[in-house]
Amino acid sequence: MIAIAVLASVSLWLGAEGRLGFYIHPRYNLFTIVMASIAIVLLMIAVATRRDRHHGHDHSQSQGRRRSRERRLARGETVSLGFIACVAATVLVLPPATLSSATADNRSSNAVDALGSPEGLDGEGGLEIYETLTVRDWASLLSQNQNPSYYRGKPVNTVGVVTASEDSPDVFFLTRFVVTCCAVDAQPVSIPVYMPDWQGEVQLDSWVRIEGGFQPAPSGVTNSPVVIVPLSITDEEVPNEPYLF
Amino acid sequence: MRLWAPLAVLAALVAVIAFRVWTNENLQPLGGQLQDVFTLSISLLVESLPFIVLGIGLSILVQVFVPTSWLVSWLPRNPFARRAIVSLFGMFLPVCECGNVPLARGLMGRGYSVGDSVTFLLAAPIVNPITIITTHQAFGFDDGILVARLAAGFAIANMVGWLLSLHPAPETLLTTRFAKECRMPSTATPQTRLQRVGSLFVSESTTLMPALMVGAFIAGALQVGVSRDVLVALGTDPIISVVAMLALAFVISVCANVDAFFILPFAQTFLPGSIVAFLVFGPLIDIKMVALLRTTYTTRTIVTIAGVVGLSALALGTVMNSVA
Repeated sequence: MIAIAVLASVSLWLGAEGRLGFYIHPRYNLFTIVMASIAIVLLMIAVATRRDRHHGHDHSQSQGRRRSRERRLARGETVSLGFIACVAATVLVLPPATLSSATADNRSSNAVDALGSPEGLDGEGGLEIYETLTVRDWASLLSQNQNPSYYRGKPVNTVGVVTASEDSPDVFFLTRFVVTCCAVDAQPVSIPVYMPDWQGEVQLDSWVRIEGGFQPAPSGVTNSPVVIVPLSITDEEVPNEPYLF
Repeated sequence: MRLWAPLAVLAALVAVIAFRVWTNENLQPLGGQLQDVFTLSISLLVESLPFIVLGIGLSILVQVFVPTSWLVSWLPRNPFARRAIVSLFGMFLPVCECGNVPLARGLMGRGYSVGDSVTFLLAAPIVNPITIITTHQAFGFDDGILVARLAAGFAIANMVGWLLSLHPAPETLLTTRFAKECRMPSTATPQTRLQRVGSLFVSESTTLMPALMVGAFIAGALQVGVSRDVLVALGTDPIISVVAMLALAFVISVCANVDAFFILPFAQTFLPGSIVAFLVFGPLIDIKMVALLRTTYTTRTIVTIAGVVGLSALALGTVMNSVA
Protein backbone atom coordinates (compact mmCIF):
# COMPACT_ATOMS: atom_id res chain seq x y z
CA MET A 1 0.00 0.00 0.00
CA ILE A 2 2.93 2.31 0.76
CA ALA A 3 4.38 1.61 -2.67
CA ILE A 4 1.27 2.62 -4.57
CA ALA A 5 0.80 5.65 -2.28
CA VAL A 6 4.35 6.87 -2.96
CA LEU A 7 4.12 6.25 -6.69
CA ALA A 8 0.72 7.94 -7.00
CA SER A 9 1.94 10.94 -4.97
CA VAL A 10 5.10 11.30 -7.03
CA SER A 11 3.09 10.98 -10.27
CA LEU A 12 0.80 13.79 -9.10
CA TRP A 13 3.82 15.90 -8.16
CA LEU A 14 5.43 15.26 -11.55
CA GLY A 15 2.14 16.25 -13.20
CA ALA A 16 1.91 19.45 -11.14
CA GLU A 17 5.53 20.34 -11.94
CA GLY A 18 5.01 19.58 -15.64
CA ARG A 19 7.73 16.94 -15.40
CA LEU A 20 5.82 13.82 -16.45
CA GLY A 21 7.40 14.44 -19.85
CA PHE A 22 10.71 13.22 -18.39
CA TYR A 23 9.26 9.73 -18.30
CA ILE A 24 6.20 9.31 -20.53
CA HIS A 25 4.58 10.64 -23.71
CA PRO A 26 2.38 13.71 -23.00
CA ARG A 27 -0.71 11.92 -24.33
CA TYR A 28 -0.64 9.82 -21.14
CA ASN A 29 -0.36 12.83 -18.78
CA LEU A 30 -4.08 13.29 -18.12
CA PHE A 31 -4.67 9.53 -17.85
CA THR A 32 -1.82 9.20 -15.37
CA ILE A 33 -3.01 12.12 -13.22
CA VAL A 34 -6.62 10.87 -13.20
CA MET A 35 -5.63 7.29 -12.27
CA ALA A 36 -3.17 8.49 -9.60
CA SER A 37 -6.01 10.58 -8.11
CA ILE A 38 -8.29 7.53 -8.17
CA ALA A 39 -5.55 5.57 -6.38
CA ILE A 40 -5.48 8.24 -3.65
CA VAL A 41 -9.28 8.06 -3.29
CA LEU A 42 -9.11 4.24 -3.02
CA LEU A 43 -6.38 4.66 -0.41
CA MET A 44 -8.69 6.91 1.61
CA ILE A 45 -11.41 4.26 1.44
CA ALA A 46 -8.91 1.56 2.44
CA VAL A 47 -7.64 3.53 5.44
CA ALA A 48 -11.14 4.57 6.48
CA THR A 49 -12.43 0.98 6.50
CA ARG A 50 -9.27 -0.74 7.70
CA ARG A 51 -10.08 -0.89 11.42
CA ASP A 52 -13.57 -2.27 10.85
CA ARG A 53 -12.18 -4.94 8.59
CA HIS A 54 -9.65 -6.08 11.17
CA HIS A 55 -12.27 -6.24 13.89
CA GLY A 56 -14.34 -8.83 12.13
CA HIS A 57 -11.59 -10.67 10.35
CA ASP A 58 -9.25 -12.47 12.65
CA HIS A 59 -11.60 -13.93 15.24
CA SER A 60 -11.93 -17.19 13.35
CA GLN A 61 -8.19 -17.69 12.94
CA SER A 62 -6.40 -19.95 15.35
CA GLN A 63 -3.34 -18.78 17.25
CA GLY A 64 -1.16 -21.29 15.38
CA ARG A 65 -2.16 -20.04 11.95
CA ARG A 66 -1.59 -16.48 13.07
CA ARG A 67 1.91 -17.31 14.32
CA SER A 68 2.70 -19.11 11.06
CA ARG A 69 1.59 -16.07 9.12
CA GLU A 70 3.75 -13.82 11.26
CA ARG A 71 6.77 -16.04 10.64
CA ARG A 72 6.20 -15.82 6.89
CA LEU A 73 6.02 -12.05 7.17
CA ALA A 74 9.26 -12.02 9.10
CA ARG A 75 11.12 -14.02 6.46
CA GLY A 76 10.06 -13.36 2.88
CA GLU A 77 8.17 -10.15 3.26
CA THR A 78 10.93 -8.38 5.17
CA VAL A 79 13.08 -8.67 2.07
CA SER A 80 10.21 -7.42 -0.05
CA LEU A 81 9.53 -4.52 2.31
CA GLY A 82 13.22 -3.61 2.30
CA PHE A 83 13.26 -3.52 -1.47
CA ILE A 84 10.10 -1.42 -1.64
CA ALA A 85 11.60 0.99 0.89
CA CYS A 86 14.73 1.36 -1.28
CA VAL A 87 12.69 1.90 -4.45
CA ALA A 88 10.34 4.33 -2.70
CA ALA A 89 13.35 6.23 -1.36
CA THR A 90 14.84 6.37 -4.86
CA VAL A 91 11.60 7.62 -6.38
CA LEU A 92 11.27 10.18 -3.58
CA VAL A 93 14.85 11.41 -3.38
CA LEU A 94 16.39 11.46 -6.85
CA PRO A 95 15.51 14.56 -8.88
CA PRO A 96 13.85 13.77 -12.22
CA ALA A 97 16.45 13.32 -14.95
CA THR A 98 16.36 12.67 -18.67
CA LEU A 99 18.27 9.90 -20.39
CA SER A 100 21.97 10.63 -20.77
CA SER A 101 24.59 10.23 -23.47
CA ALA A 102 25.31 6.75 -22.08
CA THR A 103 21.94 5.55 -23.39
CA ALA A 104 22.36 7.51 -26.63
CA ASP A 105 25.65 5.64 -27.19
CA ASN A 106 23.96 2.32 -26.44
CA ARG A 107 21.19 2.79 -29.02
CA SER A 108 21.40 3.23 -32.78
CA SER A 109 21.11 6.88 -33.71
CA ASN A 110 18.90 8.32 -36.49
CA ALA A 111 16.78 5.20 -37.12
CA VAL A 112 14.46 5.80 -40.09
CA ASP A 113 11.25 5.63 -38.06
CA ALA A 114 12.55 8.03 -35.43
CA LEU A 115 13.33 10.70 -38.02
CA GLY A 116 9.89 11.35 -39.57
CA SER A 117 9.65 14.20 -42.06
CA PRO A 118 9.82 17.91 -41.21
CA GLU A 119 6.75 20.02 -41.98
CA GLY A 120 6.44 23.51 -43.43
CA LEU A 121 9.45 23.33 -45.77
CA ASP A 122 7.45 24.02 -48.93
CA GLY A 123 9.55 27.09 -49.77
CA GLU A 124 6.87 29.66 -48.88
CA GLY A 125 8.06 30.48 -45.36
CA GLY A 126 11.45 32.00 -46.17
CA LEU A 127 14.70 31.14 -44.42
CA GLU A 128 13.33 31.92 -40.94
CA ILE A 129 11.35 28.67 -41.03
CA TYR A 130 14.66 26.82 -40.65
CA GLU A 131 15.23 28.47 -37.26
CA THR A 132 12.21 26.56 -35.94
CA LEU A 133 13.54 23.14 -36.94
CA THR A 134 14.38 20.66 -34.20
CA VAL A 135 17.34 18.30 -34.07
CA ARG A 136 15.00 15.60 -35.39
CA ASP A 137 14.01 17.77 -38.38
CA TRP A 138 17.62 18.50 -39.28
CA ALA A 139 18.61 14.85 -38.86
CA SER A 140 15.74 13.93 -41.15
CA LEU A 141 16.82 16.47 -43.79
CA LEU A 142 20.41 15.19 -43.59
CA SER A 143 19.22 11.65 -44.20
CA GLN A 144 17.23 12.75 -47.27
CA ASN A 145 19.57 15.28 -48.84
CA GLN A 146 23.35 15.10 -48.53
CA ASN A 147 24.16 17.85 -51.04
CA PRO A 148 26.14 20.56 -49.15
CA SER A 149 24.80 23.31 -51.41
CA TYR A 150 21.25 22.65 -50.14
CA TYR A 151 22.25 23.77 -46.64
CA ARG A 152 24.16 26.91 -47.67
CA GLY A 153 22.77 30.01 -45.93
CA LYS A 154 20.13 28.13 -43.94
CA PRO A 155 20.19 29.21 -40.27
CA VAL A 156 20.30 26.69 -37.42
CA ASN A 157 18.84 27.63 -34.04
CA THR A 158 18.03 24.54 -32.04
CA VAL A 159 18.29 22.88 -28.63
CA GLY A 160 19.67 19.52 -27.60
CA VAL A 161 22.03 17.52 -25.41
CA VAL A 162 25.78 17.34 -26.03
CA THR A 163 26.94 13.78 -26.78
CA ALA A 164 30.41 12.69 -27.87
CA SER A 165 31.41 11.50 -31.35
CA GLU A 166 33.50 8.39 -31.81
CA ASP A 167 34.69 9.61 -35.20
CA SER A 168 36.64 12.70 -34.23
CA PRO A 169 37.56 14.70 -31.13
CA ASP A 170 36.72 17.85 -33.10
CA VAL A 171 33.06 16.90 -33.51
CA PHE A 172 30.25 16.40 -30.99
CA PHE A 173 26.63 15.57 -31.58
CA LEU A 174 23.61 17.62 -30.64
CA THR A 175 21.15 14.92 -29.62
CA ARG A 176 17.49 14.51 -28.68
CA PHE A 177 15.52 11.37 -27.91
CA VAL A 178 12.33 10.52 -29.82
CA VAL A 179 9.73 8.80 -27.65
CA THR A 180 6.64 6.83 -28.71
CA CYS A 181 5.30 5.75 -25.33
CA CYS A 182 7.82 6.26 -22.52
CA ALA A 183 11.56 6.68 -22.00
CA VAL A 184 12.00 2.94 -22.40
CA ASP A 185 11.42 3.17 -26.17
CA ALA A 186 13.45 6.38 -26.62
CA GLN A 187 15.52 6.51 -29.80
CA PRO A 188 18.31 9.06 -30.22
CA VAL A 189 18.46 11.43 -33.17
CA SER A 190 21.51 13.63 -33.60
CA ILE A 191 23.30 16.13 -35.84
CA PRO A 192 27.07 16.72 -36.01
CA VAL A 193 28.61 19.94 -34.70
CA TYR A 194 32.17 20.84 -35.73
CA MET A 195 34.05 22.57 -32.94
CA PRO A 196 37.72 21.75 -32.26
CA ASP A 197 38.45 21.48 -28.51
CA TRP A 198 34.72 21.48 -27.73
CA GLN A 199 35.44 19.70 -24.44
CA GLY A 200 36.74 22.99 -23.06
CA GLU A 201 33.63 24.90 -24.09
CA VAL A 202 30.67 22.63 -23.42
CA GLN A 203 30.05 19.77 -21.03
CA LEU A 204 28.99 16.29 -22.03
CA ASP A 205 25.29 15.72 -21.26
CA SER A 206 24.58 19.46 -20.89
CA TRP A 207 21.59 21.08 -22.61
CA VAL A 208 22.64 23.81 -25.04
CA ARG A 209 21.14 26.04 -27.73
CA ILE A 210 23.26 26.25 -30.86
CA GLU A 211 22.98 29.04 -33.41
CA GLY A 212 24.97 28.78 -36.58
CA GLY A 213 24.86 27.22 -40.01
CA PHE A 214 25.92 24.19 -42.00
CA GLN A 215 29.21 23.94 -43.85
CA PRO A 216 30.87 21.10 -45.77
CA ALA A 217 32.52 18.75 -43.27
CA PRO A 218 36.35 18.88 -43.12
CA SER A 219 37.86 15.74 -44.57
CA GLY A 220 37.78 12.67 -42.32
CA VAL A 221 36.00 14.11 -39.27
CA THR A 222 32.56 12.53 -39.75
CA ASN A 223 30.47 10.45 -42.15
CA SER A 224 28.10 13.37 -42.68
CA PRO A 225 28.85 15.55 -45.73
CA VAL A 226 27.98 18.68 -43.73
CA VAL A 227 28.44 19.78 -40.13
CA ILE A 228 27.05 22.60 -38.06
CA VAL A 229 29.58 25.35 -37.40
CA PRO A 230 28.23 27.22 -34.37
CA LEU A 231 28.20 30.99 -34.09
CA SER A 232 27.05 30.79 -30.48
CA ILE A 233 26.42 28.11 -27.89
CA THR A 234 24.38 28.97 -24.81
CA ASP A 235 23.36 26.83 -21.84
CA GLU A 236 19.68 25.89 -21.66
CA GLU A 237 17.43 24.66 -18.87
CA VAL A 238 16.19 21.12 -19.35
CA PRO A 239 12.80 21.54 -21.08
CA ASN A 240 9.72 20.11 -19.36
CA GLU A 241 9.26 17.96 -22.45
CA PRO A 242 12.85 16.92 -23.11
CA TYR A 243 11.90 14.27 -25.64
CA LEU A 244 10.51 14.75 -29.13
CA PHE A 245 7.33 12.94 -30.17
CA MET B 1 -15.35 3.71 9.55
CA ARG B 2 -12.78 6.35 10.36
CA LEU B 3 -14.06 9.65 9.12
CA TRP B 4 -10.71 11.35 9.69
CA ALA B 5 -8.98 8.92 7.30
CA PRO B 6 -9.37 11.07 4.14
CA LEU B 7 -7.72 13.96 5.97
CA ALA B 8 -4.89 11.71 7.16
CA VAL B 9 -4.26 10.45 3.62
CA LEU B 10 -4.34 14.00 2.27
CA ALA B 11 -1.88 15.10 4.96
CA ALA B 12 0.44 12.24 4.03
CA LEU B 13 0.12 13.19 0.35
CA VAL B 14 1.07 16.80 1.12
CA ALA B 15 4.02 15.61 3.24
CA VAL B 16 5.31 13.34 0.45
CA ILE B 17 4.99 16.10 -2.14
CA ALA B 18 6.68 18.66 0.16
CA PHE B 19 9.59 16.26 0.70
CA ARG B 20 9.76 15.66 -3.07
CA VAL B 21 9.92 19.39 -3.73
CA TRP B 22 12.74 19.77 -1.21
CA THR B 23 14.81 16.91 -2.65
CA ASN B 24 14.27 18.25 -6.16
CA GLU B 25 15.62 21.66 -5.20
CA ASN B 26 18.53 20.49 -3.05
CA LEU B 27 19.88 17.35 -4.69
CA GLN B 28 21.52 16.66 -8.04
CA PRO B 29 20.85 13.75 -10.44
CA LEU B 30 23.48 11.02 -10.31
CA GLY B 31 24.30 11.27 -14.02
CA GLY B 32 25.64 8.56 -16.33
CA GLN B 33 24.51 4.97 -16.61
CA LEU B 34 23.31 4.61 -13.02
CA GLN B 35 20.98 7.58 -13.44
CA ASP B 36 19.70 6.05 -16.70
CA VAL B 37 18.85 2.83 -14.85
CA PHE B 38 16.68 4.87 -12.47
CA THR B 39 15.18 7.00 -15.25
CA LEU B 40 14.20 3.90 -17.27
CA SER B 41 12.86 2.09 -14.21
CA ILE B 42 10.84 5.07 -12.98
CA SER B 43 9.58 5.55 -16.53
CA LEU B 44 8.25 1.98 -16.51
CA LEU B 45 6.67 2.51 -13.09
CA VAL B 46 5.01 5.82 -14.01
CA GLU B 47 3.81 4.37 -17.32
CA SER B 48 2.42 1.24 -15.64
CA LEU B 49 0.79 2.89 -12.59
CA PRO B 50 -2.42 4.10 -14.32
CA PHE B 51 -2.93 0.72 -15.97
CA ILE B 52 -2.36 -1.10 -12.68
CA VAL B 53 -4.89 1.18 -10.95
CA LEU B 54 -7.33 0.69 -13.83
CA GLY B 55 -6.84 -3.08 -13.65
CA ILE B 56 -7.34 -3.13 -9.88
CA GLY B 57 -10.42 -0.91 -10.33
CA LEU B 58 -11.92 -3.29 -12.90
CA SER B 59 -11.02 -6.24 -10.67
CA ILE B 60 -12.86 -4.58 -7.75
CA LEU B 61 -15.79 -3.85 -10.05
CA VAL B 62 -15.95 -7.49 -11.11
CA GLN B 63 -15.63 -8.86 -7.57
CA VAL B 64 -17.83 -6.43 -5.68
CA PHE B 65 -20.44 -5.05 -8.03
CA VAL B 66 -20.96 -7.66 -10.78
CA PRO B 67 -22.99 -10.74 -9.76
CA THR B 68 -21.20 -14.07 -10.22
CA SER B 69 -24.16 -15.40 -12.20
CA TRP B 70 -23.81 -12.58 -14.74
CA LEU B 71 -20.10 -13.29 -15.20
CA VAL B 72 -20.35 -17.04 -15.61
CA SER B 73 -23.84 -18.09 -16.69
CA TRP B 74 -23.87 -16.59 -20.18
CA LEU B 75 -20.55 -18.19 -21.18
CA PRO B 76 -20.78 -21.33 -23.35
CA ARG B 77 -20.42 -24.59 -21.42
CA ASN B 78 -18.15 -26.06 -24.08
CA PRO B 79 -14.65 -25.25 -22.77
CA PHE B 80 -13.20 -24.48 -26.21
CA ALA B 81 -16.02 -22.08 -27.05
CA ARG B 82 -15.79 -20.54 -23.56
CA ARG B 83 -12.05 -19.87 -23.89
CA ALA B 84 -12.59 -18.47 -27.38
CA ILE B 85 -15.08 -15.97 -25.94
CA VAL B 86 -12.82 -15.20 -22.95
CA SER B 87 -9.93 -14.45 -25.29
CA LEU B 88 -12.03 -11.67 -26.85
CA PHE B 89 -12.57 -9.85 -23.52
CA GLY B 90 -9.65 -7.58 -24.42
CA MET B 91 -11.81 -6.04 -27.18
CA PHE B 92 -14.05 -4.56 -24.46
CA LEU B 93 -11.47 -4.13 -21.68
CA PRO B 94 -8.47 -2.62 -23.47
CA VAL B 95 -6.24 -2.53 -20.40
CA CYS B 96 -2.47 -2.83 -20.85
CA GLU B 97 -0.97 -6.19 -19.87
CA CYS B 98 0.03 -5.00 -16.37
CA GLY B 99 -3.62 -4.18 -15.65
CA ASN B 100 -4.78 -7.54 -16.94
CA VAL B 101 -3.10 -9.37 -14.05
CA PRO B 102 -5.33 -7.93 -11.28
CA LEU B 103 -8.34 -8.33 -13.57
CA ALA B 104 -7.49 -12.00 -14.17
CA ARG B 105 -7.13 -12.46 -10.41
CA GLY B 106 -10.56 -10.88 -9.99
CA LEU B 107 -12.08 -13.22 -12.60
CA MET B 108 -10.63 -16.26 -10.82
CA GLY B 109 -12.02 -14.91 -7.57
CA ARG B 110 -15.42 -15.03 -9.26
CA GLY B 111 -15.18 -18.62 -10.41
CA TYR B 112 -13.21 -18.57 -13.66
CA SER B 113 -10.82 -21.52 -14.06
CA VAL B 114 -7.03 -21.21 -14.21
CA GLY B 115 -7.12 -22.07 -17.93
CA ASP B 116 -9.75 -19.38 -18.60
CA SER B 117 -7.75 -16.76 -16.71
CA VAL B 118 -4.52 -17.57 -18.57
CA THR B 119 -6.37 -17.50 -21.90
CA PHE B 120 -7.63 -14.02 -21.03
CA LEU B 121 -4.18 -12.89 -19.83
CA LEU B 122 -2.42 -14.03 -22.98
CA ALA B 123 -5.02 -12.94 -25.54
CA ALA B 124 -6.16 -9.60 -24.14
CA PRO B 125 -2.97 -7.59 -24.78
CA ILE B 126 -2.98 -8.60 -28.47
CA VAL B 127 -6.67 -9.08 -29.36
CA ASN B 128 -7.38 -5.56 -28.26
CA PRO B 129 -8.53 -2.52 -30.30
CA ILE B 130 -5.64 -0.25 -29.28
CA THR B 131 -3.00 -2.85 -30.13
CA ILE B 132 -4.71 -3.59 -33.46
CA ILE B 133 -4.82 0.10 -34.39
CA THR B 134 -1.19 0.80 -33.44
CA THR B 135 0.07 -2.33 -35.21
CA HIS B 136 -1.89 -1.31 -38.31
CA GLN B 137 -0.50 2.22 -38.11
CA ALA B 138 3.04 0.87 -37.89
CA PHE B 139 2.91 -1.94 -40.46
CA GLY B 140 -0.42 -1.70 -42.32
CA PHE B 141 -1.04 -5.11 -43.86
CA ASP B 142 2.60 -5.43 -45.03
CA ASP B 143 4.11 -8.93 -44.89
CA GLY B 144 1.05 -10.24 -43.03
CA ILE B 145 2.47 -8.94 -39.74
CA LEU B 146 -0.84 -7.64 -38.33
CA VAL B 147 -2.86 -10.72 -39.31
CA ALA B 148 -0.14 -13.11 -38.10
CA ARG B 149 0.06 -11.27 -34.76
CA LEU B 150 -3.68 -11.40 -34.15
CA ALA B 151 -4.12 -15.01 -35.27
CA ALA B 152 -1.07 -16.22 -33.33
CA GLY B 153 -2.04 -14.30 -30.18
CA PHE B 154 -5.53 -15.82 -30.26
CA ALA B 155 -4.31 -19.34 -31.08
CA ILE B 156 -1.47 -19.43 -28.52
CA ALA B 157 -3.72 -18.07 -25.76
CA ASN B 158 -6.33 -20.75 -26.43
CA MET B 159 -3.71 -23.49 -26.73
CA VAL B 160 -2.07 -22.59 -23.39
CA GLY B 161 -5.51 -22.31 -21.75
CA TRP B 162 -6.42 -25.77 -23.08
CA LEU B 163 -3.12 -27.27 -21.88
CA LEU B 164 -3.61 -25.89 -18.37
CA SER B 165 -7.22 -27.09 -18.32
CA LEU B 166 -5.91 -30.67 -18.69
CA HIS B 167 -4.17 -30.45 -15.32
CA PRO B 168 -5.81 -32.80 -12.81
CA ALA B 169 -5.45 -30.34 -9.90
CA PRO B 170 -5.59 -26.84 -11.38
CA GLU B 171 -5.46 -25.20 -7.95
CA THR B 172 -1.84 -26.34 -7.62
CA LEU B 173 -0.99 -24.10 -10.59
CA LEU B 174 -1.62 -21.10 -8.34
CA THR B 175 0.51 -19.79 -5.52
CA THR B 176 -0.61 -21.12 -2.14
CA ARG B 177 -1.52 -17.64 -1.00
CA PHE B 178 -3.70 -16.79 -4.00
CA ALA B 179 -5.35 -20.25 -4.06
CA LYS B 180 -6.28 -19.68 -0.41
CA GLU B 181 -7.75 -16.27 -1.24
CA CYS B 182 -9.87 -17.87 -4.00
CA ARG B 183 -11.16 -20.56 -1.61
CA MET B 184 -12.07 -18.05 1.06
CA PRO B 185 -15.86 -17.56 1.01
CA SER B 186 -16.78 -13.94 0.49
CA THR B 187 -19.47 -14.15 3.16
CA ALA B 188 -17.12 -15.40 5.91
CA THR B 189 -17.03 -11.93 7.43
CA PRO B 190 -19.97 -9.63 6.76
CA GLN B 191 -18.64 -6.53 5.05
CA THR B 192 -20.21 -3.55 3.39
CA ARG B 193 -19.37 -2.95 -0.25
CA LEU B 194 -17.17 -0.02 0.70
CA GLN B 195 -15.22 -2.22 3.11
CA ARG B 196 -14.74 -4.82 0.39
CA VAL B 197 -13.51 -2.12 -2.01
CA GLY B 198 -10.94 -0.99 0.55
CA SER B 199 -9.94 -4.53 1.42
CA LEU B 200 -9.47 -5.58 -2.21
CA PHE B 201 -7.51 -2.43 -3.05
CA VAL B 202 -5.10 -3.09 -0.18
CA SER B 203 -4.62 -6.78 -1.00
CA GLU B 204 -4.20 -6.25 -4.77
CA SER B 205 -1.87 -3.24 -4.54
CA THR B 206 0.20 -4.88 -1.79
CA THR B 207 0.62 -7.97 -3.93
CA LEU B 208 1.25 -6.33 -7.31
CA MET B 209 3.32 -3.24 -6.60
CA PRO B 210 6.43 -5.00 -5.18
CA ALA B 211 6.42 -7.31 -8.21
CA LEU B 212 6.09 -4.37 -10.58
CA MET B 213 8.95 -2.56 -8.85
CA VAL B 214 11.27 -5.57 -9.03
CA GLY B 215 10.41 -6.12 -12.71
CA ALA B 216 10.84 -2.45 -13.61
CA PHE B 217 14.26 -2.18 -11.97
CA ILE B 218 15.60 -5.39 -13.50
CA ALA B 219 14.33 -4.28 -16.92
CA GLY B 220 15.91 -0.83 -16.46
CA ALA B 221 19.26 -2.31 -15.44
CA LEU B 222 19.31 -4.77 -18.34
CA GLN B 223 18.42 -2.05 -20.84
CA VAL B 224 21.49 -0.09 -19.80
CA GLY B 225 23.72 -3.14 -19.42
CA VAL B 226 22.91 -4.98 -22.67
CA SER B 227 23.86 -3.24 -25.90
CA ARG B 228 21.09 -3.27 -28.49
CA ASP B 229 23.71 -3.33 -31.23
CA VAL B 230 24.65 -6.85 -30.12
CA LEU B 231 21.06 -7.99 -30.64
CA VAL B 232 20.62 -6.12 -33.92
CA ALA B 233 23.82 -7.64 -35.31
CA LEU B 234 22.00 -10.98 -35.29
CA GLY B 235 19.13 -9.69 -37.41
CA THR B 236 19.60 -11.39 -40.76
CA ASP B 237 19.75 -15.05 -39.77
CA PRO B 238 16.26 -16.64 -40.11
CA ILE B 239 16.44 -18.50 -36.78
CA ILE B 240 18.95 -16.52 -34.70
CA SER B 241 17.13 -13.29 -35.53
CA VAL B 242 13.93 -14.75 -34.05
CA VAL B 243 15.79 -15.75 -30.88
CA ALA B 244 17.34 -12.27 -30.70
CA MET B 245 13.89 -10.67 -30.99
CA LEU B 246 12.50 -12.92 -28.25
CA ALA B 247 15.41 -11.87 -26.03
CA LEU B 248 14.83 -8.21 -26.86
CA ALA B 249 11.09 -8.50 -26.12
CA PHE B 250 11.83 -10.19 -22.78
CA VAL B 251 14.30 -7.49 -21.73
CA ILE B 252 12.66 -4.26 -22.80
CA SER B 253 9.18 -4.93 -21.30
CA VAL B 254 7.47 -2.30 -23.45
CA CYS B 255 3.63 -2.08 -23.45
CA ALA B 256 1.72 -4.10 -26.05
CA ASN B 257 -0.23 -1.01 -27.04
CA VAL B 258 2.85 0.67 -28.48
CA ASP B 259 5.38 -2.09 -29.10
CA ALA B 260 4.66 -1.96 -32.84
CA PHE B 261 6.10 1.56 -33.01
CA PHE B 262 9.09 0.51 -30.95
CA ILE B 263 9.96 -2.38 -33.23
CA LEU B 264 9.22 -0.59 -36.51
CA PRO B 265 12.81 0.70 -37.01
CA PHE B 266 14.08 -2.86 -36.63
CA ALA B 267 11.94 -3.94 -39.59
CA GLN B 268 14.71 -2.57 -41.83
CA THR B 269 17.23 -5.13 -40.57
CA PHE B 270 15.12 -8.00 -39.23
CA LEU B 271 13.04 -10.46 -41.26
CA PRO B 272 9.20 -10.23 -40.96
CA GLY B 273 8.96 -13.49 -38.99
CA SER B 274 11.32 -12.10 -36.36
CA ILE B 275 9.18 -8.96 -36.03
CA VAL B 276 6.04 -11.09 -35.61
CA ALA B 277 7.82 -13.24 -32.99
CA PHE B 278 8.61 -10.04 -31.06
CA LEU B 279 5.03 -8.77 -31.34
CA VAL B 280 3.55 -12.09 -30.22
CA PHE B 281 6.00 -12.96 -27.44
CA GLY B 282 6.61 -9.51 -25.90
CA PRO B 283 3.06 -8.75 -24.70
CA LEU B 284 2.79 -12.15 -23.05
CA ILE B 285 6.19 -12.79 -21.50
CA ASP B 286 8.68 -10.18 -20.36
CA ILE B 287 10.53 -9.37 -17.15
CA LYS B 288 7.81 -7.09 -15.82
CA MET B 289 5.02 -9.57 -16.63
CA VAL B 290 6.89 -12.53 -15.14
CA ALA B 291 7.29 -10.59 -11.89
CA LEU B 292 3.57 -9.75 -11.90
CA LEU B 293 2.49 -13.31 -12.84
CA ARG B 294 4.56 -14.65 -9.94
CA THR B 295 2.05 -13.04 -7.57
CA THR B 296 -0.61 -15.46 -8.79
CA TYR B 297 0.88 -18.52 -10.53
CA THR B 298 3.60 -20.89 -9.34
CA THR B 299 7.07 -20.68 -10.87
CA ARG B 300 6.47 -24.03 -12.59
CA THR B 301 3.25 -22.73 -14.18
CA ILE B 302 4.99 -19.57 -15.42
CA VAL B 303 7.89 -21.59 -16.86
CA THR B 304 5.37 -23.82 -18.66
CA ILE B 305 3.47 -20.83 -20.05
CA ALA B 306 6.70 -19.07 -21.07
CA GLY B 307 8.01 -22.27 -22.68
CA VAL B 308 4.88 -22.88 -24.76
CA VAL B 309 4.57 -19.23 -25.78
CA GLY B 310 8.31 -18.97 -26.57
CA LEU B 311 8.42 -22.15 -28.65
CA SER B 312 5.23 -21.16 -30.49
CA ALA B 313 6.63 -17.72 -31.30
CA LEU B 314 9.94 -19.27 -32.36
CA ALA B 315 8.17 -21.74 -34.66
CA LEU B 316 5.93 -19.06 -36.15
CA GLY B 317 8.82 -16.66 -36.74
CA THR B 318 11.07 -19.31 -38.26
CA VAL B 319 8.33 -20.54 -40.64
CA MET B 320 7.50 -16.98 -41.74
CA ASN B 321 11.20 -16.19 -42.29
CA SER B 322 11.62 -19.38 -44.33
CA VAL B 323 8.81 -18.53 -46.73
CA ALA B 324 9.53 -14.76 -46.85
